Amino acid sequence: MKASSLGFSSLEAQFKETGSVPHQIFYKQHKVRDESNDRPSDLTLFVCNIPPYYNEECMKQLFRTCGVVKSVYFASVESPTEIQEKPKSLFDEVEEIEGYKVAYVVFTSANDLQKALSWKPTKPVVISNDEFSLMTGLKKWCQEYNDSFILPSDLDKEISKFMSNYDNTVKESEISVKQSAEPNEEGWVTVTKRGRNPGFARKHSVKSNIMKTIQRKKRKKTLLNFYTFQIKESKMNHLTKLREKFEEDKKKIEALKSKRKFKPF
Amino acid sequence: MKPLQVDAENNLDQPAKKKRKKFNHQKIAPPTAEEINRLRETENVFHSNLFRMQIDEILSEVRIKDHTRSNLTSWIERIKNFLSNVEFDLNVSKNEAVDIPYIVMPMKSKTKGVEAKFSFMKPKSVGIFGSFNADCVLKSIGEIDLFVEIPKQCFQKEDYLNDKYFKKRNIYLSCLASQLLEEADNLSVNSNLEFCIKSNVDKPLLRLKSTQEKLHKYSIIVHVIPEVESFKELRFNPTLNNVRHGWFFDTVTDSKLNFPTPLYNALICQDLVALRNEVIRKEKFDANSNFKDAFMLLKIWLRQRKLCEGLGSFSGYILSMFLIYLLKKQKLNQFMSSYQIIRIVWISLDKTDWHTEGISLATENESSSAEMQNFKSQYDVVFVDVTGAVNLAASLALSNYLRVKRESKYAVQCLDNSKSNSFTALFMTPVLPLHNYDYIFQFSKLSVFRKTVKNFADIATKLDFRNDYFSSFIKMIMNLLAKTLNQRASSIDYIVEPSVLMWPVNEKMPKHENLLIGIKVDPTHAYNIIEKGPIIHSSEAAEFRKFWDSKSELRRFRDGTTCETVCWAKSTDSHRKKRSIICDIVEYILDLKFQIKRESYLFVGNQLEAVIFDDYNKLFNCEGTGEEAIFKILASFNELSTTIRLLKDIPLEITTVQGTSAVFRYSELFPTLPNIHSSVKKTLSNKDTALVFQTDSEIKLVPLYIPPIEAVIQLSVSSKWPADLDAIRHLQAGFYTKLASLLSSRFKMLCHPFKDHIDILKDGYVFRIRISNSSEISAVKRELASDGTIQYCDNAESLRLEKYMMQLPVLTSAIHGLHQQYISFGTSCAMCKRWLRCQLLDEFYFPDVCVDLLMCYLFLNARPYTPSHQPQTMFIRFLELLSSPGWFLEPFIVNFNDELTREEILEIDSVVSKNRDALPALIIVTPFDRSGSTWTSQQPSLTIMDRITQLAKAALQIIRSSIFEIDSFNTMKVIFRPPLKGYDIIIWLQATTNALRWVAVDANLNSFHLVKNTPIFEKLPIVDFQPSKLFMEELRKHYNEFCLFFYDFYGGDFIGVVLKPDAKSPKEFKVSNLKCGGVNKSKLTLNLDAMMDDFRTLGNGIVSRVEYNENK
Repeated sequence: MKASSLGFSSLEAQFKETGSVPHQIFYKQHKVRDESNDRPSDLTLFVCNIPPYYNEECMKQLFRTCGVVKSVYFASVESPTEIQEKPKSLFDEVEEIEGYKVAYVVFTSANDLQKALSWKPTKPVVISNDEFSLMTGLKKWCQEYNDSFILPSDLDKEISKFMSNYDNTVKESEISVKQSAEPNEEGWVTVTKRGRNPGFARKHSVKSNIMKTIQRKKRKKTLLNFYTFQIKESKMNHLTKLREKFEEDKKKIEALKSKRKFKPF
Repeated sequence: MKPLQVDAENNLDQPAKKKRKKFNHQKIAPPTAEEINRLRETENVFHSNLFRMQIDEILSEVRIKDHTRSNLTSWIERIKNFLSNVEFDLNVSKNEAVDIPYIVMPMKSKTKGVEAKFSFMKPKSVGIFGSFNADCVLKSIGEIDLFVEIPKQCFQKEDYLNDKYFKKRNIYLSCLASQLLEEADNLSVNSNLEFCIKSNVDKPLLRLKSTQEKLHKYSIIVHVIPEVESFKELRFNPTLNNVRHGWFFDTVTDSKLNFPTPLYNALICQDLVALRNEVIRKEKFDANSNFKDAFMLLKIWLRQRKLCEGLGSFSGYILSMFLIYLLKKQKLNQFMSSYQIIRIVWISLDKTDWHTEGISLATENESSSAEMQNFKSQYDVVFVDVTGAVNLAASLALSNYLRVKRESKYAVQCLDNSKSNSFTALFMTPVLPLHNYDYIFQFSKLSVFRKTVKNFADIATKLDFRNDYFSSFIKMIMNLLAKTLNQRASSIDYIVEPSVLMWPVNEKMPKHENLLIGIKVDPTHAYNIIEKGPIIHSSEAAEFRKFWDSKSELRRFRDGTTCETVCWAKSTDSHRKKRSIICDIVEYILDLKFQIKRESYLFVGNQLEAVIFDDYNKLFNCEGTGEEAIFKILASFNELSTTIRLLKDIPLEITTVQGTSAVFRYSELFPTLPNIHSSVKKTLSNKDTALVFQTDSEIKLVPLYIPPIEAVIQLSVSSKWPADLDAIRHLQAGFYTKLASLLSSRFKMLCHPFKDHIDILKDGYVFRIRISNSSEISAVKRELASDGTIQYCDNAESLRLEKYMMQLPVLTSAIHGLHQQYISFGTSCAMCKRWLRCQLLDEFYFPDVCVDLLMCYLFLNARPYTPSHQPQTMFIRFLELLSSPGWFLEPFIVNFNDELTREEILEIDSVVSKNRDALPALIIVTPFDRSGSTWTSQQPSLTIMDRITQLAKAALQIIRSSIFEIDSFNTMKVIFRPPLKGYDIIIWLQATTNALRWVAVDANLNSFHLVKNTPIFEKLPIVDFQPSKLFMEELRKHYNEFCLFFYDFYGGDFIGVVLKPDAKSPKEFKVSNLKCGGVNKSKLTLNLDAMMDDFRTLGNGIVSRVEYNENK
């Protein structure tokens, strides 16, 4: 299938003006059935084959001639609909998309999108220029190293903020539980695990423990050495086990034999 | 079976239930008597079923097939007929030179001729004896012993004197050779006749090979022996002299000088009684086939250990006579299985003491105890034959006998260990000297042997050995070393290479010239820096002083005594230095006693250590192979952990502080040193308590790498942890900040809290501490099942946490315990890591922990060896382990403290063998990890293991071929240099931005300036910053789909990239295929140039160039 038959246009982009090899980048208008408000189809471009190190700013540079880019959402090639979240607090960890990625580029006006769709650059687009250069390699790692140092006071502030929030939510939920234990306007009472007769905890382990005890009790009730056939059978079982072991060993020997493991010298 | 199947097919229309019943019935067929017998027999008289089957297999492999045997017999018959009627016209008068056509007489040294007249006569009899006669020849050796009896008319009355017997014997053998050569074609004998020397230089043998295609593996060994009545056995009493002083030294001497010549006497007498012993042997062996099986097994066992070949060896003949001895003593009986026999033989070998008690096959009478005294006074090892006239073990060296004893004891231990099958270790694995010994000394200069014997041997030895410099040298040096090393060595053995000398009959007899002396140390004494002698002025003191000469000095000890002492090293010396004390002692004593200089022999034992030692540590003013650096870190860590544990005012008490870094397993390659930091100054600025980079300027030189030393702390149990994961993490971070503020305010320590750890600087080391919290793990595991119940399921994150926070500390403390037992553990691991990493297999492909675990395996399952105390030996064994495909067949069971029981191990074994293909390539089971895949589930993959196998094979070959050379390290260094071949793309890196540039194998250390003192720290240094590592992480993350990346983390200057096989193939145009593609003829193909450009971009600042390797 050709690129164009899927509705893709392509352009070439290279990282630096000189000494760089261009990448082919494919894009088309974003069209899906249930559209989200962030990415309306008349403003959004779906872009593929983007090198892993491109960030939002790179995408803006890429389409700078077409118009102003409002926002960019990245997603992985494997699941192009799941877009990457942006971090909100110090503790949020953003998982970097591995490998090549796709992006949703949202323009400010529909006009810009149309411009981009009909755009046919003759020369490869250069991302890095005088105004913008992407930090990669050593510089980036140094920066990341520096950024990993957060002042303890900032860290403390963040923690206390989160914990007070958390405590509040816990308290609220407790209150709501308590309230539901009392009859509401229509006289209904919600039964919870709190109270005089709490019932089983809703846990998988508890469930499996109960199942185990039931089985154990069942086993206790049956008599194993009662009927002659049972005794006979147990003997036979022992024999088959021995035979199985024998066969297993035989197989092992065969495996060793095939590896010429019995030639001592 | 068959009729039943047909039955089932006919009744297809019957209900399924009935069919199943029938099938079941067929499966449990009633056992036959034979089957029950066999099963019971296996349980009672064999180790295990598997062991029995293995024994059967190996025996069928080494036994000669029936049709070959009949072919052989007819060939032997022809030779026998020819030899019994052989004629040769030779009459030599006294002192006349002998000349036999086509043959050069096998004489060990130049002699004038025979000092007696000799004329050739037809043999008295010819026949086969030895193993072939008893039907116990090992097929792969295929030697058939044939005896030719020299008629007594050939000998004169005094021929037992002065070597005359040996000369005549050799002439006789040469005559036979000459005649055989003439008739070679008719007898289908290969015309390349050879002489060979097996256990003694005085008695060369003749070796014939067949021209028949089917029999090319087999050869006939012709022994010549005198007719029984040729001499009287009394002449060869061990206390008598049969080599006259006057004759040997060509001087007129006092006839009263009487030096016994026990070895000489025994050699002749052994020939004389050979047939009488053979009668009994044949009779006993023929009576019982299990006896033969056991004998063959024992022979295989001896041969794998190279114990039954060569000068002074424990020959198969001695072994068979010992079996007869045990029969006679009723230790063995004919109802025993082969397994029981070998077991009893090993136990008896261990229990009897031939070197102190002596044993005898002769029937006892009144004089036998007196005779035994005679034997004991003259020989090291005594095993008297059936006639009571000769010591069968006369030429058996004491060291070899002791080794057999040791090996027997070990073999019994192996059998008794029910937890593993020791068959392979006992019978299948050759024991190689290089893998076996801690130290090896190699002597290969003929002049050394000659000079030493001439100048330092006593007269008795000279007479007894008669110019056999090599054998006498062995005896002298073994005695000297045993006396010198005393308790330090647990065993001193010698190995002669090649063990059997062979040469064509028309050439001069070659000489033995390669002697290896292998030493195993006793670690409790071997590293003592002083040799404490007797108290001053005692009678032993003078002797001690005489032995050690100028090295001996007086020292006063703590208990107030003053003793003669020899001092070999300072107490402050490094472990590496202490490991070479034995080498120093040997060097000193050889020079002192035999005037053998260091240049005349080679020492093998620690050459390869240079790759982890050399100048690297010297650069930072620290000597040794890293042990000292590790001890310092541990001491510092201990202080830190007490400080932390004593902290008050924290919400939860800290119960334990445990290390998890390789340092705590003693296996860290290049442990960090406190003074590495000082090499950084410029391009750094301050941020809070730490140094950071100045990002506005160009970074040219990256500071040297400082690894964080990781540890975990456990808090006292609390039920107050919230259930929410985020909340737990925030609380933990709060704990880190609290800890940091306490440590810095109370103890003025430099530290910095992070989200998930805290970095603490102490004594120049950066410790990175994390909280190990089981509530965190359960929060990660928590899931809501479809029916609304709460479930705890493993996921990638929880497994990772369990691995590093829970299992690693436990494993680390177990390995810590192992290291207390085997102190060479850590350095051995470091060497293995160095090799793997140098071959571009980094932590990603072969995790450090796996190396540690495999090394534990080698220490705990050293069979057929014992754990070595020399890192290099362990490294060689590590290579051997990886070079054999055994890693795939069986799981490695590292049974710390013997925790796993036999049943558990058997179960693990059977689980593994059933699901082998679904399990990871490498399975390492520990008591803490019964699945065996915690550390190996991701990597190494099968491909990587295959590659490691290849590499290990190549490395072993290089080591074996060049370790016995002068300056072998430089030749062997090649195994630590990665080849450039085989990579599609090579990414070259700049040296200046490599934070570990100083440890590269070929690093030019002159460019680094020496740092003396530990600097004073004002800020936390740059920690865990190695740009190439970060680069590799990015590459692997983004390009994993197309390429494999290989890099030597320890100073490597390039990254090798291998394209995956399907990376380059064109693909359909689909969104999911749009990865670094370019449209080419409506298909997507990999845009290789663009990808290489990506590499350049991603590695900006550290990559110097990216090359495509045309001729891969």
